[in-house]
Amino acid sequence: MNILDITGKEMLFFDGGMGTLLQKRGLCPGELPEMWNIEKSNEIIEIHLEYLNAGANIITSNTFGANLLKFPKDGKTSLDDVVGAAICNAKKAIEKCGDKKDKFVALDIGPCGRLLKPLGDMEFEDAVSLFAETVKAGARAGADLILIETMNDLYETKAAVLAAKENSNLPIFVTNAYGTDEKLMTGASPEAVCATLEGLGVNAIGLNCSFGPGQMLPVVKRLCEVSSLPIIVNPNAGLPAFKDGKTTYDITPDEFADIMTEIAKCGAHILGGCCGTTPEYIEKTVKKLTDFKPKPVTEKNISVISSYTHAVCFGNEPIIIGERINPTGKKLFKEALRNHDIDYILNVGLKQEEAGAHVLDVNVGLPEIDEVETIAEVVQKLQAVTSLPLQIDTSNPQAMEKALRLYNGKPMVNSVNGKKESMEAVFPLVKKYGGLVVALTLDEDGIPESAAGRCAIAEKIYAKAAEYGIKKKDIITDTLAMTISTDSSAAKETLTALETISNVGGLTSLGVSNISFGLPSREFINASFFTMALTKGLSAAIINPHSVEMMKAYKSFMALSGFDKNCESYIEFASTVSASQTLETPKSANATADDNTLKSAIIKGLSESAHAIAVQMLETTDAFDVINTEIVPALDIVGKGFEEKKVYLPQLLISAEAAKAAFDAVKEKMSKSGNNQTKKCTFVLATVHGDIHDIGKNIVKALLENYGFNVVDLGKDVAPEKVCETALKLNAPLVGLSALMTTTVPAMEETVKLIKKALPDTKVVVGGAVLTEEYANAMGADKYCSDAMETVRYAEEVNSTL
Amino acid sequence: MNYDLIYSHKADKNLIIPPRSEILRYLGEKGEENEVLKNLIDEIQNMVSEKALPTGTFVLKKIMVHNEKVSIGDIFFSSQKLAKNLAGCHSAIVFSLTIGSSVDRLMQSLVSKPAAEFVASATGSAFVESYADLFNKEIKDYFGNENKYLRPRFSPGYGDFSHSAQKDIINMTDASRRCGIYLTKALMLTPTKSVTGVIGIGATNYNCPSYGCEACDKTDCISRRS
Repeated sequence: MNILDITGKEMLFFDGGMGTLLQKRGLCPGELPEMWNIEKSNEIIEIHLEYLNAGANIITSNTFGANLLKFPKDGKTSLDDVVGAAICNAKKAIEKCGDKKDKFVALDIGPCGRLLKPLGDMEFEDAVSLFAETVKAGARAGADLILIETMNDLYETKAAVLAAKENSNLPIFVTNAYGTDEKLMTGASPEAVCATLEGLGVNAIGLNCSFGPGQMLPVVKRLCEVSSLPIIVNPNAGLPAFKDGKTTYDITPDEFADIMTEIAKCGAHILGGCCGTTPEYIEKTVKKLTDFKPKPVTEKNISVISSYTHAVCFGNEPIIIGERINPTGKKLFKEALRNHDIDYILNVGLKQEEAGAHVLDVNVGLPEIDEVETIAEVVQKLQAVTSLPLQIDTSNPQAMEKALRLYNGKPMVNSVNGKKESMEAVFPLVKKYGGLVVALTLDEDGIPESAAGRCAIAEKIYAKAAEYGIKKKDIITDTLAMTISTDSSAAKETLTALETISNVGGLTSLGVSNISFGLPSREFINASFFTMALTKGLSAAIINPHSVEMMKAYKSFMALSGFDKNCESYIEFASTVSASQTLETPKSANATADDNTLKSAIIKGLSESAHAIAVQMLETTDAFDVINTEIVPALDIVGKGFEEKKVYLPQLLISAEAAKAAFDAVKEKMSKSGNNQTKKCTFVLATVHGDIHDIGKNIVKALLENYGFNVVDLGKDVAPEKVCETALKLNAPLVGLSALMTTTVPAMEETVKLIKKALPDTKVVVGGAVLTEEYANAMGADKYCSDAMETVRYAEEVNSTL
Repeated sequence: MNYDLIYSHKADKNLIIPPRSEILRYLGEKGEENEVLKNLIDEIQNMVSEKALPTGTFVLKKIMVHNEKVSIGDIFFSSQKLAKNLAGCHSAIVFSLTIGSSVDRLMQSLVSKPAAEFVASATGSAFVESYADLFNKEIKDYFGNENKYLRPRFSPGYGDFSHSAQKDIINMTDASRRCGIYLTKALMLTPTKSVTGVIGIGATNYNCPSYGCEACDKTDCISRRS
């Protein structure tokens, strides 16, 4: 019998804690509990049996920490043997208990013990591979289902789920460990977790560990609101805690059972226990709920996407999708893509977030670059800096798959259309990884002119999606804004189609600005069309959030439609717009009229003023003069102040940022005139392999950039080979490496040796908290620098000899 | 408090206010704080306080100290400085504390503003140290009633107390599961603003100088407390 036949229809019961029971039976601290599967299998069987006798239906194998990190391939005991024995023990216990009906063995998978990037040092795909081995072993041994539990990071949860999906056909149950703030340790809300896991197609979700059942109630309620899946709740028996100098203790089995009954009434379907719970806790809970019928599992008609922190719902308030991460028609963006300037792209994203976007569209397609690798890198790096959900925008199925795989959460997918080829490429990916997919109303015959034609394609796409098991709520239809400059009825057809779809409960989206292609002052038309579409029920708009006209239309619509309580958001917005016409750089309180020279603006660290003055100066002054008479001397003054210990390092950095704002103005001017000869030599920068502390490196980078060096920043935790390859490829005269702790100094040494071998003339400069000049000399580096200014001075010296 | 029972620790973050002087120390104590920097620190400090989620776990362990070795529970540590710190103690609190990954996220989100990123890092460091101070005080108050004296807290990385001890401390305190503290391969703590350590409990009020900067041999460190 498959457990899914009864899951959600009747109450099911997990077992309780294993650790405490093992300790009672003599497990020593430091001993691997999983070894008992082989060495003391009878003890394990007895524990399982106790839980079965207490009324548990699902017993979890003793494999919480059974992974390749603890049982490596070259170790004494193989992972296969440990997992195989564990499943076998659980099965034996079921045999022994006599009543085999509705009894199941769950392959237990806990966290791998390392944190994934960008917070930790483990690669997502490495985590998938790691879990895959445990899954394969469990499936081979005959587990009935997989329980992924105690996960306190959404990204790691996704890795484990993918491993389970790709290496077995078993039902997948997932429980996460929430904190008292009702989030996972790495920030995900229950709604974000639910959206992500439902998207990935797991069979039941819930929570375990962390605390006792009472404290779990709020999260249980939130999950019940949004989940279309059965809910699992496996609390601790409370935990001994120490607060305000007082100790609070466990709850008794009777109290536990009482609260678990409450939890069942809230809508949970599968109950059990975690740390500290014993067969008694389970027995009392089962007895209390003997004749209890759980609430039926209902399909929630919620259209939702999520980032690694929060969910964004569609169908109520209209959602703004920032369109700026896209090279189409953007010279600087294209250049950034070609030069692999990921920071530029991240900034485009961050600025849109500041401007009020709810979702960021990500399109990095350019014929001359490797889109698959680029989108993978951009998605991961964007998710390191912004908590907004992303819309993966590509027509390349390989790039789409890679991005969907690496995305932390449930993304939007842009796009599918009515062509058979498109649907056959996109829908399997959406089914596997989850996503809210944008459906363009066009097909093999092109874009129908009439609204009816577009609606027909929308219906066709819904129907095809359903064949793949993708629900209507996960499709958002774009009825395609076409320019009115060539067809004056274009807007009307688009809006009629939009309204028709919206009226039958479909979601809609538009790339709004296409409407005005070929017309002057496009924003006037765009904004009016946007308002018209919003009144027809538009669910999401792909727009430029820096456009004042568009944001005016949006904020006004929100206020007029009653979405904006007390018009608060509108009032806040209106105050910024009256102050300036662009939304890109909200005026800082520090920018005053006194700072009238570029030099003084930079010295004081006033970025907005520096940019504005530079723009003004460039009208009449040569770009090189602006750099040489204003920007560089200003930086030198602050730099000297720092060296003379009169200025704090952050003050130097603030001035550097102001200088950068001025440089940006110079760059804009130069890119317009086709001149781009401002750079000094290339400086490759990296924080060494294994090191995740990159603040020092970032400081060095900021200053070097301001002194005109072409800085290629490889980031943190960079393999020696990668640093060497990059330096070789760019024939870089300078490489800078940072390391924080003694544990990563060997990696630095290795990197230095590799570079010196491949590029004997390249100067390698090293720095970091534990380094000294002697250390640097011993490892063969050319220079040790104790701070960022010293690095700049050295780089200038090297540059002048080239 | 029972031996070997792992306790959770929570703190009201409003009670944790890192001293300005500590933040400035992490920023490299130089020069005068100008208006722009002052505003920046104020702004970032608010952001860090908002994001911080101070949580920890700790366990009371029996210890034995002889010469240059200390055994905590079943695990031996070779460290002269730790042995000196714990001399005369028969038990110790082993703890892992963090202010959470949201502060790391905050730092990462400031990628385009290096000054703000740096200040956030310094503030985060000062914040987690202040949390450790608060934790230390609560532990001290608790044991103070029992006529026991606490040693200054001692962390892996101080003097010759190896960073690798963090692995054992995290295991002993179940810190990965209970508060999301993990170690990287290179023995760095994640979230980065986390602290692990040992607080010795002795029967006498022995004044032990080995604490933080004072226990460290790197006398030319820019962040050294003067």
